[in-house]
Amino acid sequence: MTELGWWGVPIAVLGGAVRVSTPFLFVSLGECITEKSGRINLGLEGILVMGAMSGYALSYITGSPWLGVLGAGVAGLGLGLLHGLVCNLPRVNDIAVGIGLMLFGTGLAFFLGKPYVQPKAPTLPAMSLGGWSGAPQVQAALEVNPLFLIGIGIAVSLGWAFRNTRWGLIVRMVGDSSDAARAMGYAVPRVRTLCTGVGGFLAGIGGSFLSLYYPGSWSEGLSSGQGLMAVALVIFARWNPMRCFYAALLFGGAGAVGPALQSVGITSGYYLFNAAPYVVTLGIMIATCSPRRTLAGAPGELSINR
Amino acid sequence: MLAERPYRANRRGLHAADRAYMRDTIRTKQPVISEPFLTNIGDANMVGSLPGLDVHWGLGFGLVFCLVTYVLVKHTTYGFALRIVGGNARAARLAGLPVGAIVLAACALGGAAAGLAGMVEVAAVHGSANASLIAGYGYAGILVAFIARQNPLAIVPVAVLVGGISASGGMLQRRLDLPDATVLVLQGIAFMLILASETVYGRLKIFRPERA
Repeated sequence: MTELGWWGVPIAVLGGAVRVSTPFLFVSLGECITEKSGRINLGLEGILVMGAMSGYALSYITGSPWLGVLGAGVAGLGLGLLHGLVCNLPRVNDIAVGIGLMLFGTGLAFFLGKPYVQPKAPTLPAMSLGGWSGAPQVQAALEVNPLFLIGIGIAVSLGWAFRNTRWGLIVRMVGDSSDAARAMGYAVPRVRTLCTGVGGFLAGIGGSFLSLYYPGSWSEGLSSGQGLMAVALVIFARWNPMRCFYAALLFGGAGAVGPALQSVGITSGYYLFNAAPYVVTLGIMIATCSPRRTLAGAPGELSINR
Repeated sequence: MLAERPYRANRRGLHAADRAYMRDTIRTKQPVISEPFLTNIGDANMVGSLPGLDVHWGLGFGLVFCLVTYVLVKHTTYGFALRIVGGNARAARLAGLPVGAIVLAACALGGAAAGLAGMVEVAAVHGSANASLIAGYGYAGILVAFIARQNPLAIVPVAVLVGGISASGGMLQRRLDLPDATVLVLQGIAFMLILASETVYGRLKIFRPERA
């Protein structure tokens, strides 16, 4: 075993970023699509937990973790469409319905997931990309889940699609000015419902990562607010899919600082370092906002911006 | 497993077998380090019950806070300014109101109310600051405010109703053998339905206010 000494800290932070960021990445991409179309879905936290439960249950029943991932996405799609359809009704507040959906989703997941707390389901395999290095720390840091790579692919293609495709333009127009979209003859509620559904699908997949890879089991304390933080990360990333990826990496890396320092012998303030991701996010948000203008790239139809 | 605070008869929250480290121990058959040993604030520092009732002082604090908020929002110049800012921030700025200061004060008051709730949770229910404090009261509280249609007096019955549904969880578990998450599902469905029913407000005749 090679001794890395202080070099172990950045490597462990990188490894933590790769390991922890995937659910943040998926949920924030889902929220990015939803918010680009002019709606806020705070229920993604509930969808995440529901996705984790259904993914684990399906993986246990069918024996195939990839079917579990798909099932988690479908469960998320269902809850996302529910949010989208309810918010299509006039005068219904999307933020309030989102919080209601959060309680409903977590409750439903706990209710249906009781029998799956004990059994051990097959989990997703890891891919080793660190074979070139002799150091076990580097190899451990580069144990990558295929979902992480899929997430990067989705982030890249989503950013491209928003800029270069007709569909991306329609979604952005619906999000920036529903009047203009209606004048062009597009059904605003339908576009928003579809976007919320797709966002739910991605959030469900993010949930399946939690239960099928890391930490890799289903329990009621599985999600500790990842879904809600991902919603904040979208604002942090200024509604840009590629920046969502960087924000998720930064957030995951900041969360790994505490354990990494612990591994080289700095144990004081361990719980304080656990708050690092939130402190970093808050700090950058405060540093980059201004009372004189709305945030660059913010969809004009969001109820917080109107 | 390391030592844990001894069982207290009036403590609420997760049953020992439901706690995360206990589950991990059972599942992995390996010793798991439990949460840090927590100190109790001591019975002398606990908030007692309302005189003649089996309800702790938190209810009193809540009722007083609701009344004060009602007077503040509906019957003071600050409340009037607050409602203008909430209705249209740009118009409020044109009218010369210090929008930032008003919003900041409102946020501070909201934080004070939530902090008071946390104090009551520790000092009247749990006796210590532990992880079972995270019970989703914050999110449910936001929804209570929505369902009360931002009226501080209407918050009282709505909060009692929501709290009653939560408290019925133990009964459902014992009598009907349902999992404790039943209450969460029930709450979620109720909230979703009530929020969605906002859409019929003003459309049905019974909701329409009489025009004089």
